Amino acid sequence: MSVLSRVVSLFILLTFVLCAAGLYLHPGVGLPWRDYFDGWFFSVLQFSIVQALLSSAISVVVALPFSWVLARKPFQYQWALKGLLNLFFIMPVLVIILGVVTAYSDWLNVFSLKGILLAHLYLNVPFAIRMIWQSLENISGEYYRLGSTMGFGRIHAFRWIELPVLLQAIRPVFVLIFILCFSSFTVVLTLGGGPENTNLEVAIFQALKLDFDPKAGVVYACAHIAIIALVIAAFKRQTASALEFSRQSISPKKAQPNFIQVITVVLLVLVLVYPLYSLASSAFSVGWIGSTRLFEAMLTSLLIAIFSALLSILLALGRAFSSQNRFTQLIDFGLLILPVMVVITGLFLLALRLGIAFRVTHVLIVWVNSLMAMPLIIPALRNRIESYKNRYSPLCDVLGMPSGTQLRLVYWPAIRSILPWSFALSVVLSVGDLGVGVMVGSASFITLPILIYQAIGSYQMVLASQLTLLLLLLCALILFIAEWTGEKQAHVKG
Amino acid sequence: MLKADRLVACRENKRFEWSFELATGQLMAVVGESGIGKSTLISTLLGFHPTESGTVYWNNQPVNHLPVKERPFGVLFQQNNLFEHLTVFQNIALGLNVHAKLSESEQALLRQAAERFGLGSLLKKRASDLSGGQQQRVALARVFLQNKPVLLLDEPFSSLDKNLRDEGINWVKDIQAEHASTVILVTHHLDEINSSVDSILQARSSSHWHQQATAQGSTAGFSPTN
Repeated sequence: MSVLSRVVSLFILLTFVLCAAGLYLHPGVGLPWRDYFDGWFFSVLQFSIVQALLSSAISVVVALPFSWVLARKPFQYQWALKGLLNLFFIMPVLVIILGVVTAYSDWLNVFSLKGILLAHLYLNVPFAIRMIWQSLENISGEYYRLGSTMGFGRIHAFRWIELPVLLQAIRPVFVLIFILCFSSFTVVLTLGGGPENTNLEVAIFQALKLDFDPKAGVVYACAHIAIIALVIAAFKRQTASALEFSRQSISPKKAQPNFIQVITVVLLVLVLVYPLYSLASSAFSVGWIGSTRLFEAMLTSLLIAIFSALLSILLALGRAFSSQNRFTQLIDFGLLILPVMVVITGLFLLALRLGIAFRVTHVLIVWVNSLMAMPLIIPALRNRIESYKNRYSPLCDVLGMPSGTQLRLVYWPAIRSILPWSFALSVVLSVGDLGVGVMVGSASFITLPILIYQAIGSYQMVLASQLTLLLLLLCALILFIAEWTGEKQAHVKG
Repeated sequence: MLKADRLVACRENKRFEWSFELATGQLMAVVGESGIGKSTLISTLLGFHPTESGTVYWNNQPVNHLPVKERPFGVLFQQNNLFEHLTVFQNIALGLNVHAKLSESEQALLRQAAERFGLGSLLKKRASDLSGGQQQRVALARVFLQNKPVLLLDEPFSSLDKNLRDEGINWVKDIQAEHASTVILVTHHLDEINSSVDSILQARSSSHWHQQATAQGSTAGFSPTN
């Protein structure tokens, strides 16, 4: 197990080194360095920061009242609502984008900053609600009982018990959403609508794929890393605790929700489901259009997703088994600050330099997709492994159990019920990814998200809706199979 | 003979020092208030807690440089003595073979031990499905088959009721008699086992322990920290 941990640490380190080498050895001639820091650069930087600030601030402000009402008291079927909220965070971004386009394009110009913000809200408000709701749920009942002995009314309880928790919960959620929106690629690329709505990620893409100016890509990638590192340093890494996704277990029967909770849940579900309904309506408005390259695109997407998920699980297991030391903390920090598009830019530039860029497309995508999914599946695995380690490692030592046997008899039973879900999560993230594929693929390279992007680009919105619905069904099927398999495996008592 | 010669360990800025001698086949009770270092002694003997200085001898050979599996100790902890997700058979088998893969003769040995500890009909059950008393017997059966010369018992029966604690102690005495095991037993219930104890290691402070022979004991009354 320690061998796996070391191999994984080295693999991640190697990725960083190769990425840095790619950025440094970029094959472009380009302009003198300082010429890149022009008006365009600063307008891109300004847009990146402003849209990320607006997205994260509005997300948190919208999420606050919902979280507060939902946390008033535990209610029946809250696990289903939590599951729905989680789903929005892992759902392919293209589903949200097409949903927003079909649902709101009659009311506002979605191909603008408004559209970008709306899509970001759909992606992040559910996540923010989950996190803030969780924080409020964790308030001990003792505090309320203590408050009541001191004569606390509802307002006092809010002021002295809930408000401090809310203020504490908001900051990491805000920072995390800021980073996610700052690194947003697919939403800005598809809904940007023009050069005035370009962020650093899209600028990297344009520099590499449209302008053939790798040197510009390097400048934007470095600016990206610098800003993210600054934000994380300023907020002292308060983001790490937030990312955990596991299956929602059906909890014991709880009380009926109160009236305000019913209204809140209904409103939330309606708002969340509305774009999906619009997407489905658009898709079914005419008969199946299809595409001659659909089978090829689906096959490529699935194959890449399966290999990415396998690698991702292996990487996550290595990280989950590793003990925390300075070196591993440095790696975790690196993973946190290095956006996917920067990693893919570095690796792609290196491949270009070596003249193998379009021969290793699949490898690069699998490589980067697996790194992208890894942080989301580590926490559940690590929690389980840590709990078994604390419980059984003295007994294993006393019995002299070798690592292989420990893995077979102790840790495998502990993690096997989580693995299908972790695998499915990785597959869904990879199968819905547009950014990495569109960045490294040649003109003939096709995946399902690229096919959808091409349909949007040529204003074939019904075709795009149909393909996106197909993508959504594919993801739902994968998650359903994982849920079913996980349930079958979940007879291990933890 | 098991001997600890000025064995020193530190934990949370607290210094612990133990010295004792225990002849082969004898039982020593370790008593003292909570936090005084009873469990730390067991951890230090096993090597889970680093030794600052001092030596542990078994039959005049130092053993505190050995990896835990090569030390002469079988152990029952306060809790987590069984892998709850494994079957009774697998849990006991780990005492005979660390891969839990047994030859036919080993399987026969295991079934004999299971019958002896009243577990014959439970072998296919998951450890988590057993009662506290049954779990205790599974752990004892494993230790019995492990057949290490020294048995370290860190209050393994403390969470059970008095009847089950008595039953546990009787099984320990049974194992001790059959294997001539040397036993160190950490306990808060000295009164319940007094008649079986050869010597008592009692804490005056964390770094000051006193070993005393009981009426049944034949120890020389070695107590260097006196």
